Amino acid sequence: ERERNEWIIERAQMKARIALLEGERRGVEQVKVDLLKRVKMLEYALRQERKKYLAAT
Amino acid sequence: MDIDQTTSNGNHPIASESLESSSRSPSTMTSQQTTEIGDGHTLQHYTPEQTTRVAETGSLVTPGTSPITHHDRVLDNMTITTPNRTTTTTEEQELYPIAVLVDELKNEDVQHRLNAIQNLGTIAMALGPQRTRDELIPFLNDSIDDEDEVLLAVANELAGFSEYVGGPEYAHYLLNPLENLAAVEEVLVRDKAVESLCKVAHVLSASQVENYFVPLLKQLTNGEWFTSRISAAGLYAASYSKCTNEQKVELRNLFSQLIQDDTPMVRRAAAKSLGDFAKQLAKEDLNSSIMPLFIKLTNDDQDTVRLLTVEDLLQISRILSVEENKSTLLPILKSLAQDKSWRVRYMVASNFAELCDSFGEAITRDELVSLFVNLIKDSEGEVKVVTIAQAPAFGKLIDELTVLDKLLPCVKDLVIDTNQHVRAAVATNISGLAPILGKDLTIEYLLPLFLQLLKDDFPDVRLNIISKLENVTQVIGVERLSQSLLPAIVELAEDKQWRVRLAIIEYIPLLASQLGVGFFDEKLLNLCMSWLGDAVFSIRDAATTNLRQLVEIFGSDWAKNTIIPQVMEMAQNENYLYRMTTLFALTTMANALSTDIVKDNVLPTVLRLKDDTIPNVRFNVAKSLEVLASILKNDKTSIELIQSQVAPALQKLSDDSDVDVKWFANKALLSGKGLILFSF
Repeated sequence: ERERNEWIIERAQMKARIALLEGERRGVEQVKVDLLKRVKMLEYALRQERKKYLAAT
Repeated sequence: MDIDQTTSNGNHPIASESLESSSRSPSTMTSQQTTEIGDGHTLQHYTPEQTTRVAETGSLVTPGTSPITHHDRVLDNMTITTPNRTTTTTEEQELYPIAVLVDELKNEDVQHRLNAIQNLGTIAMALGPQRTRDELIPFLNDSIDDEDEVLLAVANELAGFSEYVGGPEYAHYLLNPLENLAAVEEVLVRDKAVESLCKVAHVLSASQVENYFVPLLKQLTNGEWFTSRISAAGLYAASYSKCTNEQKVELRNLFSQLIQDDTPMVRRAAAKSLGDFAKQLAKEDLNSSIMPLFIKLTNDDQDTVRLLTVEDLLQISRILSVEENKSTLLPILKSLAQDKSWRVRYMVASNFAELCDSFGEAITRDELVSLFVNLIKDSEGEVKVVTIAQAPAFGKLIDELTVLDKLLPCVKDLVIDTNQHVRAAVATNISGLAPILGKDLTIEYLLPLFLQLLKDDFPDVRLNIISKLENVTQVIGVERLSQSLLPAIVELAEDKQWRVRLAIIEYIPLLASQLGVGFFDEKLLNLCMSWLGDAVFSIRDAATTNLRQLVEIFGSDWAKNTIIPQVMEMAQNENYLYRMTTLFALTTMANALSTDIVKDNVLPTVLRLKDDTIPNVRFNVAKSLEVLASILKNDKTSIELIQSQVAPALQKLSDDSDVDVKWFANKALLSGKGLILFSF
């Protein structure tokens, strides 16, 4: 009986841990998406600047 | 102004965006318009150069596919409007910096929104200075409606933003969003906004201050809601020096308006920043315009306001001359020091030495001594505690005779105070008086107080007195101190209560390091050894740890000559408990000793005990051999010794008739094998 309880508790803890890690992973994924977007944004801004610069010279 | 309006110059806003479906008028307009168009079709238009619309899930609207259905999204999300031109590419829309920011700020995870704001510089950099001013700043002005945490980050970011808006000459563009943040309800956000505003104010030119900062200050000062008035109080000192004379007059009037505010919150903020503001003022202006109000503030009916004026008093006293201090500030100080609220008296007490310093020695001697005596006799324990903490610094400013006549009787009373925290504070600070009084007076007056404190029931009191002994040793010398201190320590060391004995043992290493090896050997060594034979195990245990700490302080050679012979003698004692203590002592000390001493002195003694008649001793031998082996393995030459002596001994113990002895011996063997010490 006791072993069974322990097993249930352990299982619940594992589940909680999995949920936590999954959540973290989703968060990191989202951050990555945001960062990629920012990099693209900066790349675009740089290209525009460069165009302007070339046009000026 | 919303983003679409800025980007499209307001000429054709069809739909507008708002963050987090806030109930701003543009969003209601959106719903109306879309329903008018009907059937779930919204027209999309594009500007030439920028202007984007990124709907939530990346469903980008490409030019050419003009009517797109996303009626269902229109209501709770932003849609984007642009005047009708079709030169934009998808990339452009997607990467338009503000759209990126808006997108990030839509995330439901606060941490992500926070990240977005913390990297606001990147957005501004991509936009360039011109468009940061024209588009980003207005966006921040109006469209941010978020958690306090995010607002705090915005306020923080804006402090360093002047480089992104085009340098100091455009820094005033930052004032608007910060002004909004300075009026929010959350204190942390407001404070941060004020901090950032002060930083921005430093880079502003005089004309910028005149045209932008002072109007802002006025607006905040006259704000309807008290939060903006509180923020305003913090901004005066930052801009005052850059103002024209007329404006200075105006600022002084505005500030006095804050001092007389109806709400105590604002008066408190004014009192808090009064000191800094006073530093910026010319002396005559301070005297004429601020002083009367300051005096009023010190008589405020709220004690939380009054207690803040103590700091101001300190600042102002540093500005005024000695005579002015005496005529104007001294009466104020006196009334504050006798305030009916103990928190006000507490503030006076905790700033006392600094106050004395800025008032000058003459006033201190004539007037402030009696104030100090009153504070030290205060009815509140807290006040007494801070007052006594000021005593050494205060004592330096007055002559010894006054200390002796006035201060010392009070200190004497505090030594027998009923409040233990007061006594602990006395114990911490009393030794600071010794250098002021000099050798003879210290011996005559302070020493008895010391000894009394040393016998206090409260452990903190004893600890404080012992940890500050150094000051006293410097004044009266170790010899004299030990003569009076030793009897007290010996008495405590032989106290009937084992808790008292334990307490003293814990202070021995500290005491030894302060008094030096000579003094220790002569007087305290025997005491330390006698604890090893104490009837209570906790005491014996503490004594062994104590020995290790002593070895760490005095070095292994000292241990070899003084402690080890005595400990080894105990190995022959008839009582097995003594023999076990020997083992404990040697094992704990071994870590602090050099390998040579372990090899020559410790190991043989331990090995000799392996044939003891009591099993408890034998299994403790096994335990301590385990520790010793791991120490000896560091030295190449002693590895042999392990092979030839330790391993056989353990082997023999593992064949013992007693279960415990076997078990511990096998455990030691196993861990020895783990370290590759034994090979069988």
